Amino acid sequence: MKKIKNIIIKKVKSVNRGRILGLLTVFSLLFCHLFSPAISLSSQGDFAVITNPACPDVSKDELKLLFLGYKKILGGYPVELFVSRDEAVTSDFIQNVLGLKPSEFNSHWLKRALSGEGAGPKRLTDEEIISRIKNIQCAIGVISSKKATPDIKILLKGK
Amino acid sequence: MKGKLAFIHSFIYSFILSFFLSLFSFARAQEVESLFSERLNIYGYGLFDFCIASEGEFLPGLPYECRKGGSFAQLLVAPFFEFLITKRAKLLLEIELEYVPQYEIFGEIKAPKNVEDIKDIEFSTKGADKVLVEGFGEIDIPYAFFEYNFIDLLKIRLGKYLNPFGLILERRDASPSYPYLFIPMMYNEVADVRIIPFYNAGIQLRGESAYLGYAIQVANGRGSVGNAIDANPDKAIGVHVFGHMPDGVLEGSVIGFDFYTDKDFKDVRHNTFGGHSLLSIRDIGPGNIELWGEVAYYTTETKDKTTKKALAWYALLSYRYFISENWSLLPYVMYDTFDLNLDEKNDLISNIVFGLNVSPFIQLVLKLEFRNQRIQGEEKSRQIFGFGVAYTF
Repeated sequence: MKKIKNIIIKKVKSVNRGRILGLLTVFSLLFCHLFSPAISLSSQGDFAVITNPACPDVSKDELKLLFLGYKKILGGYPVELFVSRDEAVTSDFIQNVLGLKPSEFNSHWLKRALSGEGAGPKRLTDEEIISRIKNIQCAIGVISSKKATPDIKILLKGK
Repeated sequence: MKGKLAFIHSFIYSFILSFFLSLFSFARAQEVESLFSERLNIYGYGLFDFCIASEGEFLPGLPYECRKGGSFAQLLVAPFFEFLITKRAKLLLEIELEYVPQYEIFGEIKAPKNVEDIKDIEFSTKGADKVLVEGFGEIDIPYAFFEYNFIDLLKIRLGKYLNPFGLILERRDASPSYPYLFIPMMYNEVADVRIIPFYNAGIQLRGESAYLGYAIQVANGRGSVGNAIDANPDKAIGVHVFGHMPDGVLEGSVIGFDFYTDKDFKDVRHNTFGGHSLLSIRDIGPGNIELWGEVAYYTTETKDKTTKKALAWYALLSYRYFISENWSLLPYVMYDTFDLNLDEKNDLISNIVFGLNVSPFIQLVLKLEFRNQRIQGEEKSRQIFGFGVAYTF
């Protein structure tokens, strides 16, 4: 009788251990997924705000107004805006220059776009942004500072 | 053996869970704005919702799906087509595939019996007041305008647009962009009282600077077909003025005033005065606090000087808690009220609303809402529960 009891207790314990291990696996995966964006942010991307040499200089305050959509004309020219597809680079720009969380920036443009104000800055690769900026009189782009070339004007650099 | 089996089961479940969570992570990389070509952007939003009420149907200020027994709404899909003609000029078209055709709700459209074709009503100014629902049918076009940008402080819009009024009328159905599941009563028609029409066809001047913005319009005005045809010489005039904070701890805060007046086909003058404010305080703990408040005072005056006054307002307190860069939770509480006639008693409708938005990434918001609705003079209040999945693309 005691033997049977011991066997049952052992089996119950092993089932519980399996369940606990399983639950731990589920929670650890969930935890990893929830906080993966925060982890990916730790890989900081140095950014450079670039423009065509023909475009007037822009202050940090003006950059903020431009990237929030409150200002669309610069020195008489309509401005086109681009941000890097590299999320780390764009996130750093949004946080350090605009003072917003990336989700707040997206939410801001969501409200504007769905109010008829038009879509926000276009997301392109750094190479595409450089190529566009060379051909457009007044376009501003955010790229990785490592990709900046000498024939474009750098308005701002940051980490 | 069973322990191993439980572990294998847990492993399989966690694999399935992680697969779906990976889909969310993948979707995070997508953008709200999508570049279809150099000159055409396509983006938009949608909503799928379910609503159930403890009693009644056609509840004031709520969509048709809120009724005893509950109902799923059809999926709402609203794509925007933004054609960039030049860097200063664009065309914007929004097509809303509406969720509840009036035909299915009422069985028929209430129209004069001597009219053979629905088109006769739409193109007849005499019959215009007979069609009771504006924008009925399955397809609605809230935006179809041409815009030219002269300077930041002066843009001109020509065409059809959602009226610039209050905090959200220009994005009336874009539920991913505001906290509530069902918009406050002041934006809806409640017991035949519509404080402000949804849209207008006309000319609008608008502009924006770092701290201030405005929109003024001259348009056809109220009427079920006012968007298409208007033989009424009294045009609608609307003014929308606001100030906003582009920076600092109050970034995103807005305060503004509205005035709108028009005359309908029965020669009744409608005036609406509105005030709106959104106080946003950033970085309070791990998130942001927002306090929304809007008020609209509405009067009508008939030719024989009979007047009617109505007042609607709501206040909402929310807290956006950022779990991670993308995941956020937004619980809120709202008090929403509408006095349909200030000179009469027992016509005040009020709602206390508790809600929660869960957003795993910017393009998706899961919405839960519970409200207690009370109509003055009625003994029992009714309870309404709704949930929705709002998305952008």
